[in-house]
Amino acid sequence: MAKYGMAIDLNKCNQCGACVTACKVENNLQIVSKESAAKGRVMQWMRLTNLSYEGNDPDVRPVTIPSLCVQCDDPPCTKVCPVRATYKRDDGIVAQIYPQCIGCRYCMANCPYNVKVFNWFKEDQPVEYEKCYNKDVAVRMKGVVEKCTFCIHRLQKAKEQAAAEHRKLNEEDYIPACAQVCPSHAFTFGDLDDPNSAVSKLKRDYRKFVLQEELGTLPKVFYLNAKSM
Amino acid sequence: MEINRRDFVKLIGTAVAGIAVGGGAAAIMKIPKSLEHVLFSGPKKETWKLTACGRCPGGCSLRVRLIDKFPIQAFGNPLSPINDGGICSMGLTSISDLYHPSRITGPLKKVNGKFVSISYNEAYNILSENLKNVIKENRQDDIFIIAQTDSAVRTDLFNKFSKAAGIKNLIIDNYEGNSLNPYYDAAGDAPGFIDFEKCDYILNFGSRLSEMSQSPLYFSRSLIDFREKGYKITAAGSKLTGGIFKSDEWVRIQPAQFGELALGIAYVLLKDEQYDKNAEKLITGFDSIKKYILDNYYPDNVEKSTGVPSETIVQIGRKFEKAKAPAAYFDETILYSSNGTLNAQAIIILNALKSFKGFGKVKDSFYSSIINNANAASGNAAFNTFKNTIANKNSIKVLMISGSNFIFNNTDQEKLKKEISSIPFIVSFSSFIDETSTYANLIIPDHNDLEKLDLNFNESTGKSVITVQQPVVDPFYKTTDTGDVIISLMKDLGAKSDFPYTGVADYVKSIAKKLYDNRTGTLMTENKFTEIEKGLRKIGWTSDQYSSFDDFWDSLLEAGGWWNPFGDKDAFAPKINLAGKFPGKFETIEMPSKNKLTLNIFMKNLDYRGSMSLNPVLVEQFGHLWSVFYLTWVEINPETARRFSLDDRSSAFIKTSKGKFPVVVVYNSSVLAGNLDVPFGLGHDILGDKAGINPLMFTENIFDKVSGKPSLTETKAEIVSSSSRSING
Repeated sequence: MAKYGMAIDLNKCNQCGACVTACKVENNLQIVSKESAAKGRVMQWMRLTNLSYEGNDPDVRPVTIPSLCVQCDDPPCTKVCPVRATYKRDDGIVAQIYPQCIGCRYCMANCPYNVKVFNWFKEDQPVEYEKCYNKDVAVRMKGVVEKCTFCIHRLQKAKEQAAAEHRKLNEEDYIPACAQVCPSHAFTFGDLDDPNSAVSKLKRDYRKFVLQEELGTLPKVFYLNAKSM
Repeated sequence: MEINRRDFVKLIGTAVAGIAVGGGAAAIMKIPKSLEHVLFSGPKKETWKLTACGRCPGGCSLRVRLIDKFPIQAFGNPLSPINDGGICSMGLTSISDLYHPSRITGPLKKVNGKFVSISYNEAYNILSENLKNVIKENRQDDIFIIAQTDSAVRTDLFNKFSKAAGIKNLIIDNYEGNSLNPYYDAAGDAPGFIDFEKCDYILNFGSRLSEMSQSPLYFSRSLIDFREKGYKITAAGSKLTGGIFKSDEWVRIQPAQFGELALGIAYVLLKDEQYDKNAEKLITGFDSIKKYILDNYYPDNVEKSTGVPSETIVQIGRKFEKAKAPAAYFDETILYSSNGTLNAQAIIILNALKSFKGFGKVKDSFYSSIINNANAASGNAAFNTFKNTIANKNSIKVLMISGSNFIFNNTDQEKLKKEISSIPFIVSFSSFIDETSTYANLIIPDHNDLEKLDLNFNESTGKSVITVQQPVVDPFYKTTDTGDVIISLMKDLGAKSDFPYTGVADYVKSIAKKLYDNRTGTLMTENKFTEIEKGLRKIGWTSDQYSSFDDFWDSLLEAGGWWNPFGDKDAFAPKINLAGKFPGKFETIEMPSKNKLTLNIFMKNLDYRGSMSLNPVLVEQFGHLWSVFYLTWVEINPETARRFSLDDRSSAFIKTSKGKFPVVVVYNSSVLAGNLDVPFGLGHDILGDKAGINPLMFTENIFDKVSGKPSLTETKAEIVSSSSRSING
């Protein structure tokens, strides 16, 4: 069984935001009204987080990272869900069963990475956006917690395709939308259990770091530091 | 909202009644009748089609996903040498524009101040008659065409039409043309690309190569590779954008002063005698230009006017002179200041001192051989000519506007609005009633990009690449390809026209036929070739076999494009003649300081013309980096902000001589002290719910004297805290 993980090379990321948009349109995330946005209810499973600035003037550089659910191997969110709506799959993906979620938001409170979002209202969507809904992804009902699933619907589809063709699932068959669209190829996605996969090799890179390592959540999304060249 | 069973039954009843009253599903869903049955009873079959993205000059190839003939998603084509599978936010959301509820669904005529629907034939006849009446009186000078297009085919059609009809005032607002025009003016030629195989140092003057350029996705990758090889990039600019912070060195400078910096660097090369001796032949009047630079641009003098330390200027000069093939790069962005074109000329001189070795041109360029308009990409008039003509009350009888929302994109908006109201006949080809097309007497809406056929030419990779923009869906509405209207007009009006084609499709096919006959290059079906195959191709061997042109055409559409990975490149080393143009007088720029704040308007990445916020996804995401949504913000250095008692995320007003506008304060320690960095793109007040402010409305009327582009960085401003605290962010 594969264990999926992702590397994000900050040396390549130039904050263009294509990953953020790709996530939004791939997963049919609601567009919220101005009023909801003013209350901090914008729905993003992936966003660019401006952490700080480093360096001294004039060599100052922003430290901005694409942040998404880091798919902890020991996820704190699953432990507090009273109805087991969020759980970790055998392939390592932390998934969410939306019809089972009761909207208590304990998982959000227990997520140290602040990457889960709550679906407060069913907002009227712009017609041009609704027409482009991805038919592979169900639109969530209000009152549930939403999160990045590594575009799990793509994995399902890829598995079905491979089965229909009587072959094993290949590494290139499945890739989340954010990783697929990145213009500078900053994302590397694959099987962490396969020592020869590109993502496994990057996990051994000296530049690798994970967010809040001290918490012991064992994130499967890790970053490669922006090195000076 | 809870829906119980009774509500559900009611809702269904309403929906069914709606279909019955409104004349069927098409009336509700706004789709063609021919597709109605597909929408409701189709098997939900997934298909993919390749096309080209038309949202910027980049020429990215798109894979469009269709469910039962309806496009729903777009991704990058991994076989494209330009985007290599990547895609930007604009491309990702391009599909939703097709379904935009504000799209104009057919020709409109203004009657008593209101638009009413008319047939295409009636609209065409009105347009044709108006043009004929003016041409009959030999007053072609009273006709202006303003077209904003990055399509070489459309640019060519406008050029051919204006030539055939004797119209001198053609203004093409084209990113590539605007970027290269200073080169054409100085040398009659322009570089094709940065030659990454040779180039070993890039000095970037304000261009946001990986964010907003002639091919942002290609530059996103190639600049990473460039730095991986150990080569350095120095970027000059007033804002730390994504492109600049990925450089090795950032020179903080106001864009209006790029030219002085370039000449300061040229001083170092000349003084050290480390310039390429060939430059003496390349630059007409070399000795006098050399003397001018040595007399006036001693680095200490440049430091005084620009604020860039003289040591930095000398250090950059030494890097530039040591590099074997340096490239001092600029593009259209440089024009947005009072010294715009003059700055570009100074950078051209700097490049000439090293014989333009960092640049190259495609040898035997197919682009140049097919569409011979490269040196006239900006038409034959500048926007300034138009503004001066209407300002001087000269009679403009007919104004044709295609793709341009020049009122939204200019600083003197109120003046322009008043002046164009006096033009007796304005025709617009806009798909939306926007800030400019609202002044039209007649609108003949263009197709959406996904509904029309076009070819996108791009040589920024160093190879000729042609991406086919093919219709992935039949036109939803009674819209007409503007190219077809222009071709019809050419036949009606152009007595001298020898244009044999019946429409855009016919013309595009004729270009493809030349590709077929040419037999160089290959379809975009693979992007890696062995050296052996490259060698064989160069001597004429090809594995591509087509039984006929029709066979080739079908294959071209299926592959989504063509490119020539086997072509060679030429050196770019033209002779520069700037007699009468250079040296000009640089405007003195007042430096921003703690007490004198400057409004510094920046364009969001990829939003070339402020149209991004017409898309619902993009408008929501506009300020996502700062978690500011649907509002205009100002990025300000925390030290400056504190002097004005402004907290992070508080509300404030920016005041200029033209009025004041609200902003959310965002602390950004990389902003120059004294600068108020405000994004451009929000504030469309015509379409739907207004989000944010268009800062150009509050910007002083300062322009580049040659191109007429407004200066975005020279407006003096104040900032004051407003009493209420913003809760956004």
